[in-house]
Amino acid sequence: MGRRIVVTSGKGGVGKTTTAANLGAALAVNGKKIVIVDADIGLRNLDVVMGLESRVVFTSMDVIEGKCELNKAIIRDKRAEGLHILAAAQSRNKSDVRPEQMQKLIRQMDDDFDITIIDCPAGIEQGFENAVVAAEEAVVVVTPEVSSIRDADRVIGLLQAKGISEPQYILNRMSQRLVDRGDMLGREDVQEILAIPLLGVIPEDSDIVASSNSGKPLVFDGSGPAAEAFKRVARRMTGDDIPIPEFRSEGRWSRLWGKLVGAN
Amino acid sequence: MALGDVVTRVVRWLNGEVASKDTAKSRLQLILIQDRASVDPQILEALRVDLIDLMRKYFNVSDEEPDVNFQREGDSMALVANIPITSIKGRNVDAFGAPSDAEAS
Repeated sequence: MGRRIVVTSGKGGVGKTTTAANLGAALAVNGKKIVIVDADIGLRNLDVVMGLESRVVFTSMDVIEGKCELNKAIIRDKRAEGLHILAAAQSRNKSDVRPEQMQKLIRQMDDDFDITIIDCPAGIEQGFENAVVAAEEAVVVVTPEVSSIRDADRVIGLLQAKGISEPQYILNRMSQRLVDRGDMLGREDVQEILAIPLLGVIPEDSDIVASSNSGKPLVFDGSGPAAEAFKRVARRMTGDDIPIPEFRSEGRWSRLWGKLVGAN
Repeated sequence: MALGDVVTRVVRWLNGEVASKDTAKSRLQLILIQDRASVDPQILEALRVDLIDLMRKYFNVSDEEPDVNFQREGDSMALVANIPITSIKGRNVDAFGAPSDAEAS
């Protein structure tokens, strides 16, 4: 029996798909057999973020409707042994799938994969229901903003009501510089408010934009702060006891120095 | 922490400004108390109507729209009702003062 983990947030645009892609890729690099399922029917993005859009022929909808076998729809990512994705249908709606169908689909993959990561759509409607129904663990992606934390708090309540007793969260897009200036909620502030286990902190990193431009998850060959943070989170997910480091804010001088010596 | 950030903080402190993150945090705490209590607007409305009916048993209540709401009081929620009373049943009240002579019994 594999683990089934939903990556969710409530609010859109906080980095769910990027997180799902990078964690999946990092876990696969560490030797796990992974499938990432895009549950965002009608607005699929996982394939694009991972640079696999040209390889999508069948989607989860085709499997649900019996138009193709599951193993034909699952796409193998050749960049990492054991990494797979299952794309969502783009020309359909979230209401076209019932939770029982989604549950059956994901249960089918249970025996073949160590971990199934479900990339949840934004919102708390039917798409959320479908993504959460088959999951037994949850990772909530939060950015240090009022709107994102509010939505995360709501989602945490919904997850707990659905029997996912201990969701964890990832604090994404943290800028230590803004925290130091007093213009961004820090890790302790968010922890105090959400009061669930913190799985990791991903610093704001311009490499993320470049990685989504090129369709290549950062963890494959990135060594910047976000790439390293995702790798640490992936190891924590499989039980390694790796502390979450304190990040240093990069002042003007250290940035200039970084440029001069060509670091990062 | 970069020197510039220290300067920013000191300047703010001297100007008596609050760091925007502290504003964010207190706003969030208030929002979440309301969200978590999940007070349904319909329930609040029903409560408001009942409260006013109850008040009417004992007082003459102004026709002004009374204000009934939940507010944060420290760490807990408080029900704050502002229902203007014009008079106590059977006697007039002059701005919560002594009963007026006319109807005092």
